[in-house]
Amino acid sequence: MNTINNYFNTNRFGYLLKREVRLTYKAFGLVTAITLLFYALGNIIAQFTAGPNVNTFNSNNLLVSLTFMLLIWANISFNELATTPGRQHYLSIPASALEKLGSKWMLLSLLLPVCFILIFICFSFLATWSVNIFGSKQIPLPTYDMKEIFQGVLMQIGLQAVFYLGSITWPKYSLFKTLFFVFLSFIALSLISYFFAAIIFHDHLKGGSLSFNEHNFSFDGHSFDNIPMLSKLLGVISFLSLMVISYFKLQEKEL
Amino acid sequence: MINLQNIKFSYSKKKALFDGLNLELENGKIYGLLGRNGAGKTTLLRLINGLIFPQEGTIDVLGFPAQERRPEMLADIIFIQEEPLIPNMSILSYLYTYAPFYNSFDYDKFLSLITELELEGNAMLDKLSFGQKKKVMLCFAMASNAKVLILDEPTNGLDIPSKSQFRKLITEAMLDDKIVIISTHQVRDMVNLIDPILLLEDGKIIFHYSLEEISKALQFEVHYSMTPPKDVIYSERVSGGYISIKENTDGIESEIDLEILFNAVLNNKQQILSALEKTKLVNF
Repeated sequence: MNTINNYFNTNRFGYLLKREVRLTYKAFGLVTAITLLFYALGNIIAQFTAGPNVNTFNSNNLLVSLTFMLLIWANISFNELATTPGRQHYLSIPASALEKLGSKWMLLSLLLPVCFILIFICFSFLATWSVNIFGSKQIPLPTYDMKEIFQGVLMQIGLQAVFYLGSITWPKYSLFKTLFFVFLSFIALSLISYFFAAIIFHDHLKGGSLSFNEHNFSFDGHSFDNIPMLSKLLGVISFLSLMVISYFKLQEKEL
Repeated sequence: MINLQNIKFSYSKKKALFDGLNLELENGKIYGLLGRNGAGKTTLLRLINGLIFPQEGTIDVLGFPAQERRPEMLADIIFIQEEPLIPNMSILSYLYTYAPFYNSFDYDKFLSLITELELEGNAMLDKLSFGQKKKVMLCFAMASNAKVLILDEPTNGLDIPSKSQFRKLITEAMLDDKIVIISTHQVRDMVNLIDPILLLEDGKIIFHYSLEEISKALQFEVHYSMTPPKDVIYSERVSGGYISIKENTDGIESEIDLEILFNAVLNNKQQILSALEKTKLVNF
């Protein structure tokens, strides 16, 4: 018996990926089409208004759309587990938990975002040219900061890990339950941090709040480059930990 | 081979559904799993498939621990649940999506079976009737060449011709290296198919005998009279008279009525079992 074969087999992984694509492509196409039409409509409306010529297809809007899509996809990734027949069907597929989680991740965190970005960019040029040809105003061609998009996608992938775990743990109403859990975790972490900070920096505690006049802890959090290395490392560790927990949760999932 | 040893399983802390359940299922047999509602038949099937885990004990399926759900094990088990989940795709898409997971899948066999059962490959699964969906699942199970087939109420929703086709399919697919477990309440649909018979009651297998053992030990008789027969282990009123079960003392084998047998075991377990054990000893 090949032990490694029980955990990961490229053939089975490929079959799972094909299965995921077959089950997802219609919903992906529909959501992508609606998103693109929404922004195209923005450019068309701009033709009839007196505002400045701004293209609705840009890096920010691409990232905002992608963020919503990625989080929703991650949330519904394991919705098959929400019903007993669904769980029975999914858990009985002859593949390991690693392959099952990996195939979902590969599709929802890598393949679909790449497809969406490519379609978005191609469509944006096409739509802008069309509007410029037929419209009275000239809208500037879209410009994309690929570095910003890449970094944004990386952050989304990290964030998605929380929602994969949520989707496996609570397949029903996963979004609300996961958000509630994240909110509670945030409160708990804040309280714990405050508690330890109050102990460690006892001398700086004034009237319930910590004051550090002699230190400057501020950093510009808007740019990915400015996030200290430690935060990036923490992000990677959190992502890996969440994925490992998701794997074990899926492995131990029962009907 | 499937081996369950000392299984303890409960859904709640108050009462265990199984406590010390032992069961050994051999290759080359079609087991009929019978039991009252809530006896735990479906739970037992799910335990064997590794879909739920026992709190105590071990389940070994084809040499694999069931609860590890190893792909190699899952590729040799097909479990058709009473109400199977059918993805929203055509029969052929279903075939090409799921068949590759099963190493010995026979595509030609699947296509010939669905033609035989008057189904069209392009038909969308979610548009099919309940019975037709079950037929697709059965064709898939037969073509998969899986070593273990677990069927939970397989004839529910099937029309009369389909029930005959179902029996034919199972009989044809049966090979010496296969184990088929059929859990059902529709025992009349399973006549001439299931052998041995397992009866699950109070969290234990209280009856595990082959049809040969049963017919050697027990005699089933129809009495066309309005008075209950005497000197029998169990009798039941039917239209026009009674059906009874008595000890088979003259060695003449009769046709087994599974429904009567089931009721007899539940109502007069001791006498039925002692008759069976007595015959076993004589034959030994």
